[in-house]
Amino acid sequence: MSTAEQALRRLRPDVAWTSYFPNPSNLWDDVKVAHLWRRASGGASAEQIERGLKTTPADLIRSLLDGGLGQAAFEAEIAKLREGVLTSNDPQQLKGLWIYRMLHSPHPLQERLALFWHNHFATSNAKVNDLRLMQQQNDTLRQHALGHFDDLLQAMTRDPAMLIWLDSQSNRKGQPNENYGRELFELFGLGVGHYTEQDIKESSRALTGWSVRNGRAHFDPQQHDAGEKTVLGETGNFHAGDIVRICLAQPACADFIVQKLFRYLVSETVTLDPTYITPLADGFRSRNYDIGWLVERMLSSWVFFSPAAIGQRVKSPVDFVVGTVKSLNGAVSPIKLAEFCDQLGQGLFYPPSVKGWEGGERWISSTGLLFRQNLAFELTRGTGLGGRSDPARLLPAGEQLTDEAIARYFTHLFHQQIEEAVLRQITEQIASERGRLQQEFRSARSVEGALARTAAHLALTVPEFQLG
Amino acid sequence: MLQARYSVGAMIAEQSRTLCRLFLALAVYGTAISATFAADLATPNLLPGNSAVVAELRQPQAVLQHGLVLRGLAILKQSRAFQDALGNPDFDLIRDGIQHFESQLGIPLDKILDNCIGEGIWISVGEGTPPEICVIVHGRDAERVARLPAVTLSLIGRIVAGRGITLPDPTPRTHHQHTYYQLGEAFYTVAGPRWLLANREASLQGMLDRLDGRVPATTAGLPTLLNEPIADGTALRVGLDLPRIQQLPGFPAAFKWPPKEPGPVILAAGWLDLIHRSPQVTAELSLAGDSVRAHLRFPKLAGDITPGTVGYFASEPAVAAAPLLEPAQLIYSASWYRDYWKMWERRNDVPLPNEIGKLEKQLASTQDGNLGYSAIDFLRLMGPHLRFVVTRPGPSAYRVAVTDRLPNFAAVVDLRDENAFRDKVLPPIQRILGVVAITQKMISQNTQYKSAEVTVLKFTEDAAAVMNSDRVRYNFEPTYAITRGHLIVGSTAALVRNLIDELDRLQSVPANSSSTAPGPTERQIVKFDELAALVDDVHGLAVRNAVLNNGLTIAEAEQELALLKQLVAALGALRVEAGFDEQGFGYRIELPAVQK
Repeated sequence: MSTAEQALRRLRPDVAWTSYFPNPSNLWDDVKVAHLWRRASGGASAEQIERGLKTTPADLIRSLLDGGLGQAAFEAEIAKLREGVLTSNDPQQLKGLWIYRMLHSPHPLQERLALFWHNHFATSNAKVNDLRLMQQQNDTLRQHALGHFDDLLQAMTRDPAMLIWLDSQSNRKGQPNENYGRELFELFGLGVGHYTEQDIKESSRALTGWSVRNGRAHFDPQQHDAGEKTVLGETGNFHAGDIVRICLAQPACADFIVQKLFRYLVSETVTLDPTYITPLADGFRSRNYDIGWLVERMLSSWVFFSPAAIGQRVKSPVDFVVGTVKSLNGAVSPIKLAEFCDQLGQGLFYPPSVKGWEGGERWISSTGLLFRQNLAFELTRGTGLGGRSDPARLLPAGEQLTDEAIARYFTHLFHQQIEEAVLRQITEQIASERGRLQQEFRSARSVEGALARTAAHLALTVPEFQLG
Repeated sequence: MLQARYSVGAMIAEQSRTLCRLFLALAVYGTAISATFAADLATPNLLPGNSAVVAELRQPQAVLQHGLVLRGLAILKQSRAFQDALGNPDFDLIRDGIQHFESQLGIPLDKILDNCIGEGIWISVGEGTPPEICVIVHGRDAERVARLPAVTLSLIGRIVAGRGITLPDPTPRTHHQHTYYQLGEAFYTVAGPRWLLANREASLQGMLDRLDGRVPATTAGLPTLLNEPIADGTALRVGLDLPRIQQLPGFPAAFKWPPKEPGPVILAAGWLDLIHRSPQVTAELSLAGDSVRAHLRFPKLAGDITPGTVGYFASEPAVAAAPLLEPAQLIYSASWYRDYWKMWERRNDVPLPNEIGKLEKQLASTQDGNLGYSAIDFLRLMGPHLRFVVTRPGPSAYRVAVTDRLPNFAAVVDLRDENAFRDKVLPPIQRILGVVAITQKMISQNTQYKSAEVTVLKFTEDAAAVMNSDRVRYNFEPTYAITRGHLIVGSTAALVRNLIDELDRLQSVPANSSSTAPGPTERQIVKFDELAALVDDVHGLAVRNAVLNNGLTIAEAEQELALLKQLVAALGALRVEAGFDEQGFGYRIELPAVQK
């Protein structure tokens, strides 16, 4: 049993999802604050971590759930950009716009969950081939990201991009196309083993008649199979909305979403058994699939702030680039960052299949790691792409810092806690670099700036930084 | 503990100092590393008489006090992107270099500029391989100038030491009462407030001899040009001895006369003639008050214009570039006199009989195609007046909403025979446009405007076309008209109509000169106030670019654009005029002072 599994087992199921509160043996420290920021926002600057330490876990989680001030103004600003992005017909601009949201939105948790739902209802513009529809779907995901899952599932069932993506346009009376019906049960609502092939066939008949006209979902009664269907034990003249309702009525639905969200927000390395799932799934179902409640429970829980969760996820490419830039308090081209995500295998709006990105250890490969290290170098070199994410700006002003202090500053910024041996290695490399730089013609300030960049880069290349 | 390193105020103050320092670095490093020497233009000229290039940078510290520079800096200081760019580690060496000079000389940058190079910097490039180079750095404080070489060398020594190179000590030598030093291929000494440098020992000794009066000061050749009186505010003057410079290694053969191929003759015939006939060319940059003026002069042209280049410039009596067209919301307007038909008629005067023969065949062969006319016909029908305008976008002619509005542009060419052009040239062009219209899903419409037939090609606006294309195309509706002796081709019908109005307006303006001398051969104007207003027209596009490609927040991008607008508007209007006059040929660029 892994350490993370052991940590989970130490928490009784009836206690696991109750709210964590700091106590002398389990302090509210920078490790927990940074962990919360990473999972709920992608990453945090040193200032945000400092601020988080001065508040309570409950207050910080509440503020993350509610989002910060200026959301309406931010949306108004985004609206100014959006039309130009859409009329450009350039997918990179659309990707860039979303990365920009992730970096600057006053409601970062909403963006994190929009990304989760994008992977859950994975739809690719490779087939949809319409930026406007992709953006429309993205807005729907965002709108319901912390809302109710039943609303979201209903919306996705009639979403124009989804209708194109899963061939609903060719799902007609007498000629059913089962793509959406199958994925609705297998990937979106229940998971394998909770439905039969007959359920898929019958539900697909109920889903007939939908197509996309002028960018909008259109229902044609002539193409709808109005006959009687039996789906998951219920019989009637069902329409699309009925199928979603029947799906949501299955006990497996809440279990399925709880497990998937747990893997995204809490831990990829532990598997929840039913004793841990049931309390959350029951609450989720009894609250009309209130995603906000479920997220709050997970983020507030003892499980979340335990070793079962901390450092138990592999950062996806989006987590890596957004988190690094946020930690550096930097300003970097969102289109460039989106390109890096593409190259690392997470092209926004272009998931590889309807199953989305597998994630976890699949994100780690030797070439991918090398690419991440090179990207870390680009972001910390203080010029070029990283011209406005220079780590040298972050060091305390007016202080003559030792090699160890510089190493400690950046390892703390990116890792909070790190093994002394790693810190010592970084310190030694900085000392060596200082010796080399002092042979050159450089002022003390210039040397210190260069050492800050080196230290930041080294701290980002520590393998543990790939975990979040 | 974890706070940003600089406050905004401190950052701005720091960066403005950095800008000044940057200038010093360019001036001082450039001079020092070039390794050459000194002389005073108020005294007999010290530079070698056989120079091929001479340059003087006068009172460089005054450049930083110029109104335009001060206004520009005041605006840029508010720009976060600019501050960030200056804080870039790429500038570390320059910043550290400036700090080195400040600490070693014990005075701040502005004093260094005044004390050490306050009178100016003179450079000459002569003949030979490598070319002989002499530099004179003339300061106002002899004591500080005397320390300048050692401070510069210590800087260079520290820079190269970081790369594992040890700079050798300079070797002292004497010439009469002077001690001078050799370091590699460079020779230098300080004489009073002047630091003299050269890349040849004899060159340095020559400057010292002229300084001491052992040999006569240079009173002929290119350096004497720099003794000519100059206008107030002249900051930079460069002179080129054209015959000598043509002998320098690396001078492009394409600019020599007689030509070796027809390309340069077609593209730059007039300039080849000027290089061929003029003994020298001078360029001046003047920064008087708040204005900026640049003047390129080819004085004392020898003989008549080179046969075969006639027609490239307005060089004959009573010909000139047509007046500038100035439709509403004008950003840029240009007018050139260029008589290609006249050049074609004199083609046999260009000593390239084989190439001309091939060209004749190629041009004539176009008649064999489907066009029904040859390029020679086109040349014959085209007049010598070419005009081009760029304006801000007006109201869109399309129903499709376009978020990124782009400028409009048009070209206007006068025609020697409008009817013949319409009969011979237009039909095949119309056939080609018909094919383009079909492939691009465009609709052709003919409309009448003030007795002119205006042909407009518009993109279709059906939903499929709008959905599947970049909407930027809806900025354009390619339009042409043949009227009033001109062919007008524009990016929008509205602009073409405006230009028809402009032609009518200019027609009614009486010619004000009865001179038989040639008029200007080129006129241009850039209206920066309209260009600044264009920032509003392309606001969405610019903000998007700044945000998505450069990483600014939307608020920052908005602020940067507002600053850019201020910066551009501060420039006023730039005017260019070129042509022959009594003194030769001049090319003038003027940025007059803007009313604040």
